[in-house]
Amino acid sequence: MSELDTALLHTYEKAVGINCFVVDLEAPDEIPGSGYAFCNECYSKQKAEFGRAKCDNLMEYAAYQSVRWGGKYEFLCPAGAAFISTSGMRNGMLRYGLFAGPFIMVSHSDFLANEISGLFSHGAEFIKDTAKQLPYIAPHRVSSLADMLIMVVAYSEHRDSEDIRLAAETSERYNEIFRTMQNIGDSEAEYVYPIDTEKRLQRYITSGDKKGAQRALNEILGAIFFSAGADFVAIRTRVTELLVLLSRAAIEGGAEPSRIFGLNRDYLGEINKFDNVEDLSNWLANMLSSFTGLVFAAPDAKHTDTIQKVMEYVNTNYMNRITLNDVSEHVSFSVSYLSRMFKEEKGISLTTYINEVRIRNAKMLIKLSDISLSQAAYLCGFDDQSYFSKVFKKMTGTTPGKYREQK
Amino acid sequence: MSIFEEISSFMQQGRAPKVKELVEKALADGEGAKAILEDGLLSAMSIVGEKFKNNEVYVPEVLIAARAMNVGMAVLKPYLASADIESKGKAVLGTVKGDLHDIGKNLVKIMFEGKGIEVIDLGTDIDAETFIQTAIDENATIIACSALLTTTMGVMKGVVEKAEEMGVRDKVKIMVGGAPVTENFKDSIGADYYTADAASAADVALSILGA
Repeated sequence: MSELDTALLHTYEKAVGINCFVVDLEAPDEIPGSGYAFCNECYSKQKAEFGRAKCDNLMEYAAYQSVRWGGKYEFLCPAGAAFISTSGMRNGMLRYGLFAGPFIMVSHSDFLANEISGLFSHGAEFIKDTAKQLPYIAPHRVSSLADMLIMVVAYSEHRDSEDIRLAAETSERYNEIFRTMQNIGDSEAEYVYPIDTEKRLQRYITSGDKKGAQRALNEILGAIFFSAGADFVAIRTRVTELLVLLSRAAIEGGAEPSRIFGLNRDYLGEINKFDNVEDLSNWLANMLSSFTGLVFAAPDAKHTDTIQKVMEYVNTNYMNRITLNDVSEHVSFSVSYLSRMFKEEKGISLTTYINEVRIRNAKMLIKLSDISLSQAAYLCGFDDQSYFSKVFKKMTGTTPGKYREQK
Repeated sequence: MSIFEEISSFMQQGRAPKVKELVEKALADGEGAKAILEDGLLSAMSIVGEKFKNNEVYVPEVLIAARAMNVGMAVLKPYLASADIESKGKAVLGTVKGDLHDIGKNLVKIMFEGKGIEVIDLGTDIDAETFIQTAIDENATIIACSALLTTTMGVMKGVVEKAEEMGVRDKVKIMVGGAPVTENFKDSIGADYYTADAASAADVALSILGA
């Protein structure tokens, strides 16, 4: 029914000592259950109002939940037995759930003595014959066994470590967004929109810092979701604004405008189809990743790594004196080779790029703070204010002083 | 180590038989049921919750700690109820449709019952109509909904709308809670109260009932 490698499943079963079974989500009416003695005895002895259907629903639910929780979901069934679930996709659709279980995470005597859900009229003693056969797995091992089950699916589906990492990242993203929401909720201070974080986000994108950008985005989303509550129209509006901001920052960072605008057209059409914040934040994270990707997507990819390193170096050191020698040493190329390569790939000379980064940051300082123009020049790596003014005028068409007056 | 700390420590390890034994011992020693609940079981649960947030423990450890708490609760329950024999009012409680997570909801139930509020626990995966119909049938004053997932918190809005549709919006107070739920969310769906944790939920419920 699926491409799951049965030999691999048996290896897993033998290695960890728990049985595995598959639930086909495309034909959920035919859920086979675990087919194990324990479950069969449980079905036959539990009170009528529970019934097999509830167990089947639970399995289906758990398969879907595993997607939400980084690829795995650990749970106790109504009888108190533990299961691990994970799931397999095809074409972005969830196709089947893979389960390991039943097993127990407490001692057999504890399991039998403390039946808590009221599933049986006379406690779990009812199913003691088969319960005795359930393997005991210490709880601290269970998370790792679940991770291994994810790898079994990943191996069968030829997923690579990148996919597994992405699933874990998705889960971490939700958690970060919720933490932000909770922190805002817990603090006594009046809620204000995190405009500073928004500026930080723009800087991360412009300099192509994917990780920093995602963190900042999570914080902003947490704040948006917190303040908008269930008002999804407000959430979509805020997210659309963010989208514009992200795309402008990407263009500023050197992404090809035509490609960014193309992406925007596709994305803006999609935004209305979301009705929950998890899907929306996944979508936005993908978009962010495309945008930051485009900042570094040189037409010819062969030197992308080197160019990216150079850009990172410039973006973290622009406030200091940077010589072409420093940069070329940083990436271990000769000055002349690096200069030619940079010009070929980015379409501008390295010196011009360094000045662009400096002026971009100077503009921000001038607009957002009250520091003097000479200080701004100094903080952006210019020793000489008149040279700063000259470069500023050349790049922006106006002088630093006039630029400040416009603000 | 005090007996409360001992209970807390075993509960964090998920060792239900020890928790049960110590709760019984504490009761026999004359400790109050409410103190055992708050300083033993609930304090252990909040430690586990904090460790979970910091990635020091994972879901399986939380599951068995919650199980041990339920075992301890089963021992405490008759004592908690006897502290307040007279029922102060009725609340209908459940996790909303599409959501099977019930650790938080069970905590609320414990705290409600600890305050002498009669709880009709609908369980998990409950649709809007069932909440309202049960409140009507049972003549309950409070409807308390819990959700752990952002995908299911929208159902709470449905509960408020259903209450209006069925003509009982002015007769019930709707309380909402759960990890993704916030005060603003409560306002935007037109529910009456949001509380961040089980203990404050019980305080609010008590004030609604005017007791």
